[in-house]
Amino acid sequence: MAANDKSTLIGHDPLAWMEHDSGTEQRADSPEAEQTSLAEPVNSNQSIKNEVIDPDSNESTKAEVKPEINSAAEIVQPHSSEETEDVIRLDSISNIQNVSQLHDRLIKQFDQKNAIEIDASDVVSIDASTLQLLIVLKQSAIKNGKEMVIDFPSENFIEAASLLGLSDLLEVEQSAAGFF
Amino acid sequence: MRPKIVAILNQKGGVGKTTTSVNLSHALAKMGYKVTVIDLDPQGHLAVSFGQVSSRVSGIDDVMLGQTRLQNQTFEIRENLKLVVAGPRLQEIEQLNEGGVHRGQLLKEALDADSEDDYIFIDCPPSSGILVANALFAAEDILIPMTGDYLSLQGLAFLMGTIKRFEKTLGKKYKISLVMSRFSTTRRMSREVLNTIRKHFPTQVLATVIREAALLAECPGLGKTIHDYRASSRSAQDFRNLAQDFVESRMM
Repeated sequence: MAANDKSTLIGHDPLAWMEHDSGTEQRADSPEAEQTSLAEPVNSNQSIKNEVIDPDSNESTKAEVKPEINSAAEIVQPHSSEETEDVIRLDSISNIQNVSQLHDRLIKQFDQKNAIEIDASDVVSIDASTLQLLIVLKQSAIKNGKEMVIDFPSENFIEAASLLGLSDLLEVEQSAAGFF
Repeated sequence: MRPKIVAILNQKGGVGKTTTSVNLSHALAKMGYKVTVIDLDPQGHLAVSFGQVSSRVSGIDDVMLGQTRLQNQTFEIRENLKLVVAGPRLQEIEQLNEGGVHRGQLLKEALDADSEDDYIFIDCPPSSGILVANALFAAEDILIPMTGDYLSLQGLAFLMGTIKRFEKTLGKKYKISLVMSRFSTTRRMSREVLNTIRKHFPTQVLATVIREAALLAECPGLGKTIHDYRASSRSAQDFRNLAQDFVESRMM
């Protein structure tokens, strides 16, 4: 976040993120980055409750109607099979039931890649355990000089991250980018 | 010949996309370039601005739906300048829920044929759906009209995030340029916004700013471009200068 001097009318420069497009350097020394590592298991006894966050729980069929694009990947052929393997697609229901499998997949990616891409376009419901896992991954990525991005977060993902105050850390606002 | 395909894009409304599309394309046409301008906004304001008021005529909608070819939907509205109207079914495309890989490439496929044009401009809607995705698939150049207010700056930040993601997904690099539209030279906020944009896009802001003017607001109601309406006005001169900037890549 960039704040200009008091003599300007532009208090916060919304384009400042472009100066830090790699997204790693600016937070590499953050206190949070020192506290956890990806290798630490995520369990249900963390400070954040593992309640299912489903802002549209009464609209279980909402995902079937997509007037807007949820993912550019939906409408473009991947360049190669190798590229598709780089992206981890979150389940539509991402919760404590499947967080262990996700943890395993992320560990594998983390060990093999310098950039981890997570496609969150399908997420209809996500709980705190999954979000917490993503936070830990983000922090570990920063600490290890790697990049982790969440691509095309669904509205429900954005809302859940916002409810828990994790939007900035996960950079979902930039990922949403107005179109997704 | 392969024309240069330019998306005039900003998901924020009221920044001058259609005004820029109309008057820049006409200025280029008057310079002798062959130009086609496509109305990708279901509201059809581009066509209205050129004096085409019928909302029943099919246009790019039928092309994108595979009903006909682009060549059949263009008609010459000024010398060297052709228009493809939006058409009544364009909104259906925005709502397309099927088609998978194909639905983002409808426009690109339609524009892939050889053309006599030097430039094809796509006037994008102020939205964030399939139509804009189609424009981004089809275009190599992006022209972003900006106004001198803070929310416009905020919108640009979102837009750049989107463009970067498309670049990454499609494996291409757009040539991006910005134009300051509806600019008030006496307003401090406008100057600060411009300075902020120049800081982040030091070689991408076109040299001429389009100044706010009542004449420009009067044109659409008369179905005239500024070059038709008041060719000697400062606004017409702004767009002539802008067209020269655009051709020669003259930046601030």
